Amino acid sequence: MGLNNEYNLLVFNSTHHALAAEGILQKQGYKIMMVPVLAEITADCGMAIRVNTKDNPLEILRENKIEIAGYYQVIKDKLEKRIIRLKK
Amino acid sequence: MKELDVRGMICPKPVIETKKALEKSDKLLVLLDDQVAKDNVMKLAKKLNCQVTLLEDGNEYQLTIKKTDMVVEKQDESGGKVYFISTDTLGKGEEELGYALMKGFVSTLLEINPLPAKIIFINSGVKIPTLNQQAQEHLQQLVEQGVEVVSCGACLNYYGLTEKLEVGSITNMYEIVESLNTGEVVSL
Repeated sequence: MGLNNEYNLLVFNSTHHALAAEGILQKQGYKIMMVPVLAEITADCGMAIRVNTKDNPLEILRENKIEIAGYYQVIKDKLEKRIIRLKK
Repeated sequence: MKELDVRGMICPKPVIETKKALEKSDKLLVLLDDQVAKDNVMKLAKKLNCQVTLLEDGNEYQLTIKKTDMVVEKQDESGGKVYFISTDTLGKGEEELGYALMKGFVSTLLEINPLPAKIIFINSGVKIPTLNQQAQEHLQQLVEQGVEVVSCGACLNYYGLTEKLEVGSITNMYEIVESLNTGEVVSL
C-alpha cells in the first residue's frame, strides 16, 4: 500500500489551492500525500497531492470551488515512469 | 537538457534520431506526437538500460531519458550527506507553508541519489518523526533503505514526545556532534 508506485496526482495553480485541497481531502478521510510537483510536469516549485487511484477527489474539490491545474495518473516501474494526463 | 523534437517524423526515424542523440548526451528530452513512435522509443531506452519518464497529454508525448550508468555511478560514490534538521517547518515564514514544504522535502529525500546517509532531528525538528504523519511514513521507508534516522533525546523529552517516536532511534549530543564533524552536512 502507500502512494509510491502508482497514484493519481493533483496539480494546482497556486500553493494556496494545494493547501486548501489538502485540508478538505484529509477531512473527508482521503489517504493523500503532499509532494512537490514532478519536474516533468512543470519546472516551477509547485505543490501537488498524491491520491489513491481508486479515489475520485475531483467532485469534492469542485464542490469546494478549488481549481486544479491538472490531474495525472503516475505509474512507476523500476526504470520506467509514466505520467498520463487524465483531465485538465 | 538536450531536446529532440521528432514530431511529424515517420517510423523508424524517431528511434534512429533518439539513438543518435543519446550517443552524444546523457540526458535527453524527446518530443513525440505518435503513439507507436513513443512506444518504440521507450523500448529503445529500456534496451539501452536508460531511465525513462513519459509525460502523456492527449496525443503529445514527452520522454525524459536518462542514462543509468550515470545514475549508478553516482550511487557507488556512497557517502550520502548528513541532514541536520532543527525545525519542524522548512524555511522562515508562514507556519502552514513551512509545514507543507517540510512534508514535500522529506518525501523528496526518497528520490535523491545517493540517499542521505543520516537524518538528524533536533529541537522542534523532532516533531517531524513524531507528529508529522506523512513524513513519518517516508522516514520509515528511508530507514528501510538503509538511511539512519535519529532524534535528539533531550528534545523529545522537552516536547513530551519520547513515547511518540515510532521511526528511527534516539540519539545524544555526542553522537550528533560526531556526525556533524565527520560527515558532509546539510543544515535546515
